[in-house]
Amino acid sequence: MVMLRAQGVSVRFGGVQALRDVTFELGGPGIYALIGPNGAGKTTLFGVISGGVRATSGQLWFGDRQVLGWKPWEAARSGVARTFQITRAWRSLTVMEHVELAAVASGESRGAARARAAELCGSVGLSDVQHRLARELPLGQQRRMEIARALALGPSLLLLDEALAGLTATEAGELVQLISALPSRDICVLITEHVMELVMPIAHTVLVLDHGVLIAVGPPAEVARDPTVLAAYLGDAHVTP
Amino acid sequence: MGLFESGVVSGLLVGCEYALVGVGLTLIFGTMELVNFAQGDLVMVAMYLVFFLWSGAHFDPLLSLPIAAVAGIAIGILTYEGLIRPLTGKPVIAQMVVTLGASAALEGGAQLWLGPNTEGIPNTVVSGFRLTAGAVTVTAPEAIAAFGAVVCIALVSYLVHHTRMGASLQAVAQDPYAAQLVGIRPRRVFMLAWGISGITIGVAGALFMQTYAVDPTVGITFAIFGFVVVILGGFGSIWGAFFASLIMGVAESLGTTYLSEYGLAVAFAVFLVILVVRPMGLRGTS
Repeated sequence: MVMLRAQGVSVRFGGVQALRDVTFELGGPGIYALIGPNGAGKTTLFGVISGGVRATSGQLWFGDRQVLGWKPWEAARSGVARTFQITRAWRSLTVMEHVELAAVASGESRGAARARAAELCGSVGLSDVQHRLARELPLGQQRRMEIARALALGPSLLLLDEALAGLTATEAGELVQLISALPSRDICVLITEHVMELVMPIAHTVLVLDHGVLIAVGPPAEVARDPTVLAAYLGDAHVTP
Repeated sequence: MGLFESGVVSGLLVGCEYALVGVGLTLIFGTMELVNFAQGDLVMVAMYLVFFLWSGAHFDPLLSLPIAAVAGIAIGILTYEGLIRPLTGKPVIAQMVVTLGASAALEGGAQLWLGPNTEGIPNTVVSGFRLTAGAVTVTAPEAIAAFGAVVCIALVSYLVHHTRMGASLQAVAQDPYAAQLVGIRPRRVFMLAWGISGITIGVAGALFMQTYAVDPTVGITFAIFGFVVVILGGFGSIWGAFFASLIMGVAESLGTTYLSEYGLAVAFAVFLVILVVRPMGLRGTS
């Protein structure tokens, strides 16, 4: 089963080619890592998939539906959720309210949404702080809140944008554990990350972007040896011919 | 001493009424960062509606209040759908200029259609009653208008701060993109904000006709006072606008009591002093 299929997706911002002819498929539940250096186009690709960025050309299917150019709220209601590298918490809402709002938007009744929000806050380890304003929490907890908010939509595809960036080693390790368990909820996870070592152990497929071009797709071990990938990360001089 | 007490009470009552305009304005600004220059003129339209219900069908303003509130919702939503939404994605200044145009059109249209005459409702069902406490006397229309305004503002505040609908509104106001990513449609929420703002317009129309007369230019007075209390209260803050309106009302009333025609000057002097001390307004955060 193909959950998401991109074909020839390109994005141009004025004179900058952010994505060039990107083609790939994501299957069912599992963890996919989207890696690449800064400015590679990872967040732009997330924007195209989740509806915030309009592609210049190409096609995008979610299931059997052509979705290129859809609105973010359409993506959310169809089962695509995302988180952000710089967390986007609403300043006047508590953790619980964030999660509950997403559950309500996904069509749950108020009572069911509240129960689901409480359950999700618990499952990401935020029960103790669920009634605090989300903006007041440390970064690690805000990232967990964003994951809980995304899960409240009942997504089949979850996009995690640099979810581990800026966390301490302990926080990153705990979050990796949490992310590893997501496929058991029948969720396909696509995670972007700079640091290959953090996501390689949990990803079953790695996609590598460089300067807007998808330069490699495959199992982590295979991608890690790919000379094109090594050149993109380390420079040509470091790659043994 | 009696003068002072009367001035304070009178100012509080006027402040409660004017707060309705400020709350309607601040709700739109808080949600869309848009200043609706036509807010005062929309209140003028609602006042005429209530006046015509009285002159044509002998409806007392209090009886007209629910009708005016429903009409206000329609006015708010039509204003959004007809004037603001077509400019979605354009600079906010374009939307503001459209509301400015709407203000001029409403005022000019009213002048053309109804002429410059001032119309009032001399005898409402409560106009013969008075409340007296010590040296202070309050007419029943004044008291009812102020009480109605406070109830309406409390209701709006409850909707915004304690309901799911309000949480959606806050989410869109604070980060529209993140709101969309949890499935919230901004268009629906903006329509909701204009609808709620419309309630304040309709209710203001019915309550103001208890104590004021209407003419085609009356909107500008309400609008100026409304803008001032929105700034003084802190942009986007409902209760900030309310308390700012009370302060302005009392300042103007006491100024008029002791300095006759300088009442408005006193109110604006107080406004400037508070802004110098607290540039973000009473309940503003930045």
